[in-house]
Amino acid sequence: MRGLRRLVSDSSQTEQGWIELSKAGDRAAFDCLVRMHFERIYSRLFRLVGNHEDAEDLTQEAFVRAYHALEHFRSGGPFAGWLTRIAVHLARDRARARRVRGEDQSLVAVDIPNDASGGPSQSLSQREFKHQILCALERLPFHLRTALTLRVSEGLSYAEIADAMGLQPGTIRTHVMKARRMLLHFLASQLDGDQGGRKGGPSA
Amino acid sequence: MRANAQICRRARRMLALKFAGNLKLEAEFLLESHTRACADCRKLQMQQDRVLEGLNLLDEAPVEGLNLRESLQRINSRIDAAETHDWEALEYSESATAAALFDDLDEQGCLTEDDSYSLEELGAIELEADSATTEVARIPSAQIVLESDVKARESVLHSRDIVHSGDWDDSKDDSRRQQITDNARAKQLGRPRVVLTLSIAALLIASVGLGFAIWGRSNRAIQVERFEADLIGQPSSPMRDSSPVGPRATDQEATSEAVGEIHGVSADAVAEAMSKAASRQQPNLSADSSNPAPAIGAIAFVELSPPDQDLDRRRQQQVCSELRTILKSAAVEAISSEWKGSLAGDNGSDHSSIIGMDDGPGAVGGLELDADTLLARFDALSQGLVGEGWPVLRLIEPLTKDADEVVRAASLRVLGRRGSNSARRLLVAALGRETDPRHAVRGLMDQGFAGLLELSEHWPGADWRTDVQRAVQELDDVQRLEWGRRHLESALASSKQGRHAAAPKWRVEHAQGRIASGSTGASESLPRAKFGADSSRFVTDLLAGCGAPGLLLLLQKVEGGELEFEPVLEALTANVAPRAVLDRVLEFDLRTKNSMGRSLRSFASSPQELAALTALGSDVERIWPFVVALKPSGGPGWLRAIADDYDYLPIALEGLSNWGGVDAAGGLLALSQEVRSLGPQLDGFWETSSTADPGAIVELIDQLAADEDQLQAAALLEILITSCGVNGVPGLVALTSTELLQRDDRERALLAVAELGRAEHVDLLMPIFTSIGERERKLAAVCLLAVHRVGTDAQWLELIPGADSALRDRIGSLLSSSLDGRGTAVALTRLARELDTYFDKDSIGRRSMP
Repeated sequence: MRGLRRLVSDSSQTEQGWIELSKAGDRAAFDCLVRMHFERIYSRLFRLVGNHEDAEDLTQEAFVRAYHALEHFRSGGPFAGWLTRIAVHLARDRARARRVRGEDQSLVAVDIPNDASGGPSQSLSQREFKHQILCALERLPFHLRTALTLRVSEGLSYAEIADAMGLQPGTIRTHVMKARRMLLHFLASQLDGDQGGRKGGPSA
Repeated sequence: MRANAQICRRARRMLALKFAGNLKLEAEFLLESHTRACADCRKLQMQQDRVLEGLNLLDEAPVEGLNLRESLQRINSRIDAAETHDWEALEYSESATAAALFDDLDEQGCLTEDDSYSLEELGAIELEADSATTEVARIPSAQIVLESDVKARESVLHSRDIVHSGDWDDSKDDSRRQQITDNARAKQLGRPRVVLTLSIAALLIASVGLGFAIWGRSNRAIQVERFEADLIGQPSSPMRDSSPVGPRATDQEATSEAVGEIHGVSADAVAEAMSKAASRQQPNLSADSSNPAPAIGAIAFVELSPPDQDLDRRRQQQVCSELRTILKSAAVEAISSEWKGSLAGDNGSDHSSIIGMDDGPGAVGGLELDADTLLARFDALSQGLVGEGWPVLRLIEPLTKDADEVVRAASLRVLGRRGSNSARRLLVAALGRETDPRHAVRGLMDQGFAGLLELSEHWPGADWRTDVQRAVQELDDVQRLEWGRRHLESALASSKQGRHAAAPKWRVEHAQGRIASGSTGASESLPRAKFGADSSRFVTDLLAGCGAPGLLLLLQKVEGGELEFEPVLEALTANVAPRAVLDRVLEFDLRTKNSMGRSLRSFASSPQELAALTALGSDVERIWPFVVALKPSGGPGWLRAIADDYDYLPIALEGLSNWGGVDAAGGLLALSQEVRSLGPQLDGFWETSSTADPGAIVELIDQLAADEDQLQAAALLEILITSCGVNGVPGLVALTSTELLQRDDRERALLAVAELGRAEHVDLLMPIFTSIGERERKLAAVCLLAVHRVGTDAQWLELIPGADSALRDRIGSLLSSSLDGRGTAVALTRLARELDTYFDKDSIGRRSMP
């Protein structure tokens, strides 16, 4: 572990070096930064926008914005967090624009792959449940969904999410709690039925 | 009841914390105990768990579907697109236009696969190299081309459409047509932006024209000076009333130069356009369908067309001629003194007669022009023209294609020192001409970093490479990195695609030349960049010396399979500290999730840097391939140490057995004693080890003898007998010759040699017999038996030269009887007795000798 920690520490020093070089206009160094963070940002955006095309496009756009705004990046700060912030703003803007244009911004549009490992009936119920979860997530306001996704799915700390969303950590905590309450509320009927079914299953 | 409600509230808070992943473990136990008792809270917990389960069910981001390389390209192109927003972006020359067109054709598959293109395939496109115009015939909306020439990008779009809407190969699929339609739509969408740009440009031009009209003749000199200062950025001398051209002509020249500068159109194109405009006698030509394809320069000029009566074409031609003469005489004075002697002997008044000789000593291709002298002389001679306001640099641009080699060389050098971006293009074009590369290279080098960058893509011939390389070495790190990156990309693109794809300008110049010369229909090869071993070595060394970005760039190329790993690694080790290389490679490997370890196994020339490895030693499985591949000096010790963990024992044994050398053999021996329980598995490792380095075991025995380690020697004897086969024979002989083993063990060792040995081992056995014969008769008998078994009759007879024939017969008989294996022990006892007789007799005989 000691070796890995050292490696990670070296890596962050290298990242700082690349950032400095990128600020000086070195595109090769910026390419290195892109390689380092692309998957991570893409993954976060995929959670927010729900489809590969948009996520990839927004990820690319995030890096383009980042390149042009590099001079405003404080050296020594978390670059991934800064990138996430740009990405979240882009996702928010995209969602707003679609809403204004009246386009479909459904998360459910994604084709949910069929997992047949647990048998057809279990697979079907899982698909249905996934669908309902997506519907419920879609009904959440963007900021609540973002806070919830980054916290639960991406495992970011409140401070990191706060940094990404430009809010206070306490506000993020509230957002997550609120999102949880709303999710439970939206899914109440399904969860009750599901629970009834579960209860009834074994006893019967 | 109230207490229960409080507990429930507390449990609900805990549930919320659990949802967000903030609940501590002890609190979770409390929550569990409560939910077992409270049905409501249990229900809520189950619902929440279900929601969490559902969130976890959501698909992971499909990162495996990402194409990072493609994404990087898109990001870079987006960045590039965003960066081209200033006036420089408008500088689209015909080269750029044609380059884009060619690339498009290439993408569409119109260029043939064998690195060539067919001019017929270009369809309606016609590129005129000299007039620097892009004529596009049969353009449906020629109006737009005429109006929007300010931005040549638009004409590219038109060109593309024309190509696509022309005679099209029906065998091409419909997707291309769709793409064409998309292009057309994109063009339509982009039209308002072009119109806006046009409007701004027109406003600018109109304001300039208005300025001319107002200030007119009253204050023309001041006006022109300001205009030139604003648009050309070059100092202008005050205009004299006695100027031979007259003020209007100078205005016009300055204007055309400025427009040419913006458009990237060369001066001769402007002059050509001026003459066309003058001949048409239309002061304010506007684009219409009756004149579908005027030249870019002509359009630019027409917008600013002054009254025809002010145009003094004759004087302009006269000035061009004067400049040619000036250049020529300046060049003659600038020729290095080495050749002046030969020049002085000839008729100095007609330099061209001397210098123009292609193969004589004065051939300009072989001469060095002293640029400082040339410039000084040129400045002095052209001072008058500059004073009159003539844009001399613009006017000498056409002279880079002059018929006279001296003029061409001089103009290239002057433009190199003094020229602008458009001059650089001319220098690049001259690189492609067989007669002018030396002065073009020098000219580009004179332009500093920008010129060297051009050379990175248009790698000159071997004669000039050393000079360029030296100049590149003198750049700073950032510039060297950029140069190396471009050069590498260019060369790789060339080798990969079979044509100089990374240098479209080169291709375009070449294509223009072909078209201008009138050849049509034939396919021909395009010039390629040469990327030989020396260039490859140079650029890898260069990038390796540029620090982390260069290092990463090289490794990326290796990862992409574009570069071989060994030369890159060689360059890295030559230029970067070994530790840094290793760290970088490991880090790169870790970050990109690609296995460089496989490639690193070929890294046999690695410096001995165990520290770099053991510092990362906690990640054993990751490090051990590197240890095995790099073979640092302390590696065996490290492998021996990691074997303390039983999980890593196989890794350690495998590493040590393949290592070679005495340290590894010692480590393997020590490990073998600790893990005897492995039994047959150990045999395999020893077999490998003795095969990899048979000499290592003998060295180990010497070491054991020095340490008098009898225990290890006995253990090694067992291993050699049971595990090593024929490869262990030298070790067995060596063990016998030491005092480490008991007598019985030595006999066993020699018997094993007799079983396992081959003819080549007789030479090892004979000294043993000689050394032990008299002292230990039975051991000598075993040794004789071993020689008899593995060698020939002559060899064992050689060991007992003093024996009489009867004794030889008896010994021979005993040795033969031992071959069947049944009476070996008896035979050995009898043999020892016979040897007693022999040695005693022999010793008596020796004693009796005087």
